[in-house]
Amino acid sequence: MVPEGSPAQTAVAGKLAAGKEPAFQTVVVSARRRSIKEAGIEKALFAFTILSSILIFLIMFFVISKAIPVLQANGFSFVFSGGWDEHFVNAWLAPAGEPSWRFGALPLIAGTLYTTAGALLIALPFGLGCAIFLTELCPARLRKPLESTVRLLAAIPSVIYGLVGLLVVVPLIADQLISNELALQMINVCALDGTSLLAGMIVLSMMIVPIFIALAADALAAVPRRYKEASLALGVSHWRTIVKVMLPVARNGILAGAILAAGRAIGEAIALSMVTGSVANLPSVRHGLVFFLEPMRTLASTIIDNAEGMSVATCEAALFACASFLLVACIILSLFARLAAGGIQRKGGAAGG
Amino acid sequence: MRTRQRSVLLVAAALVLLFSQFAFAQEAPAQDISVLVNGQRLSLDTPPLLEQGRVLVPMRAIFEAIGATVDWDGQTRTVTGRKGDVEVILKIGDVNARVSGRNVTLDVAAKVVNDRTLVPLRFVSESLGAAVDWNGAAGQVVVNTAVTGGGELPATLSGTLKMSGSTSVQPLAEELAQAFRQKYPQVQITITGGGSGVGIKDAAAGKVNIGNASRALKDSDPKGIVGTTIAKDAVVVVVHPNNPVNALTKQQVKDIYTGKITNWQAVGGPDAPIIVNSRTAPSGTFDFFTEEFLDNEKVVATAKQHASNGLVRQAVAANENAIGFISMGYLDNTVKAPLMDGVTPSMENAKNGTYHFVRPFNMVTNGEPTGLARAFLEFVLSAEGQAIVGKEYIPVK
Repeated sequence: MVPEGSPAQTAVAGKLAAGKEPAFQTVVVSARRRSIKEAGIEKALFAFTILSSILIFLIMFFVISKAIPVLQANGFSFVFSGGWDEHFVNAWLAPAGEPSWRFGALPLIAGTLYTTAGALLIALPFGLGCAIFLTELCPARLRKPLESTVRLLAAIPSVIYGLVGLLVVVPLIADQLISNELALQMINVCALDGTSLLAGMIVLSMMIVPIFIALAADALAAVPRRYKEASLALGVSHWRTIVKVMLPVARNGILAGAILAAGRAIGEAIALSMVTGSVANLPSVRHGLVFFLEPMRTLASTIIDNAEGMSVATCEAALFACASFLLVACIILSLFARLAAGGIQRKGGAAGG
Repeated sequence: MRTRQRSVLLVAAALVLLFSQFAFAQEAPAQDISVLVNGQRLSLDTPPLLEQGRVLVPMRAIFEAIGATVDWDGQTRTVTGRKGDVEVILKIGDVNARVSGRNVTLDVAAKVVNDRTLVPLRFVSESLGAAVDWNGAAGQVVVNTAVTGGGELPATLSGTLKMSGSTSVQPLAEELAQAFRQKYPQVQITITGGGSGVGIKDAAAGKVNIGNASRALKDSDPKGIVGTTIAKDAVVVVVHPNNPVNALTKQQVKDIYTGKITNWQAVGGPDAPIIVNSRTAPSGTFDFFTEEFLDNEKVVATAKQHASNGLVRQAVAANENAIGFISMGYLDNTVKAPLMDGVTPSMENAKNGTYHFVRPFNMVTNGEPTGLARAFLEFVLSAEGQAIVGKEYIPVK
């Protein structure tokens, strides 16, 4: 078990050859035992690693294989046509012999993209500002409490954000932005009641901003101190140093933070299902700014809202098709995040700490 | 003297109650009577007949539904039904019947209508060991064959009873479970939601002991399941308390939910859009609503979809222009239930049959209920269990 020529073995061999007390025998045994134990632990850890990566592939295989019947039956029209809610009722009520495989998820896919893009649009400038303030401008005694507050925000369960959105954001939108006339005008297209794309964007941005701040602040803090000192020594103002030196150096780390935030936004289900109106409506830019006030639903919240339908094979497959789209989107995002993070490492290495 | 007066009063009150019930039974138009056997609507080619407060139904349908065989002797005009070792013999036009050789006198004799033989429902069912409820509520007769509520309950019980399904049935199931656990503290009961469809499928798959469904069972439901109707519940259309609309008709509700009416003005309200709130497909309430209010037409695509009664109530309470539909058990002062076709949607009116939108609550088991599930259902159908049901729902006994 003990590898040939390991220090323990040679030491023991030496002692034995010298003919010393047999008391050393116990040392030999315990050393051997320890290394057996260590090897065992190493093997187990290796097995766990392999197992978890296999598990990830198994999950992907499982989700996609469950989704295939629906994707095959609908082809590209799954992505490019709407009518999800009606299709879902039809599929649920279909008699046992003749299942209904028709599904169109365009409103859900577009809804997912709209909410994620909108939330990033709000969260990125705001979060970057906060990160700069925290790392560069914040008075030292405020920094710790502020930072821990931000990290605490990142740990709040999403259902709480949803609740706040439902009780604060949604009524605010309904009262301030939607007039009776507008709602009447739109009633044949969609019901405007405050639950909307805008509410989704706001709630989602509140959710992802803490993660983004934390990651962006880390990236800024990782910028080598001498870069900043060199810039300041040359007489460049603090603000100009931040914009021209620190941000470009931290760029990849900030990018990775943004991508991880986008990953969280794309997969968010509960909070969005509470504030976006839960109807598979495709907000249309032709309606002008009303676009933001229209109710909609994302892929992830559809899986939550329609989960009761899982006992019917067609409905189940349709929900797995939604899941497979989400999965693929998240994998692509995480690959991008890795690329960006790789960028930081190279930069950091070149800078030499 | 006092006690005698009191007992006279009591008897009088009992008589009034008895006759009022009788009167309701007679009022219900015969074509509106439906018969639920083990939670499933009996499909009848000839509508049930109401005679002297007794419901008559086509013989083949009822005998077969309660698991009996039936023979018809055209020469003697005699119906013979058999289930196990019980034999029921009825003669057309004769009030004298025989049950396993015993003579029984009926109020109403079997008769032939439109070439169909109609037999008295209660006599046939009860003779063959089923429990029958007919109190006129919404013209629904409930027949349970698996559990009658008359069985002896064991002295002690232990184990875990799992239920899932309808969110309409859930609050009632929880109250019943609480009372059951007071009797049998060693029994653990878990109740989850998911919708009627989920409850039925879970029960059929053996994932739960009892699946809760707030609708009648259908032919498309899994085979081999047995429903036991434990209560009846009304479905109510609700609006925001500030909404001035105090009365709606079924036709108006249908027009609103199918998108023909989109402005409250059209039904006597303000010039404001109607925000339609509906349920997701697996809901038993949705099923009943589309069947009874919408005559199976489709709900408008702009309707918001909610996964539970509570969410619909919350959505209606939060928006002055909203409309929704919920189980009567969820009705509270955060929402308002307008008159429906001139009738107040109240428990009294649902019980006496003037409010028609009433559906059964079924507890579904995989095959005939056994063990803990049977004990629970016996308890639910016992006088004690039905008293709990009667607090907020319509009992079946």
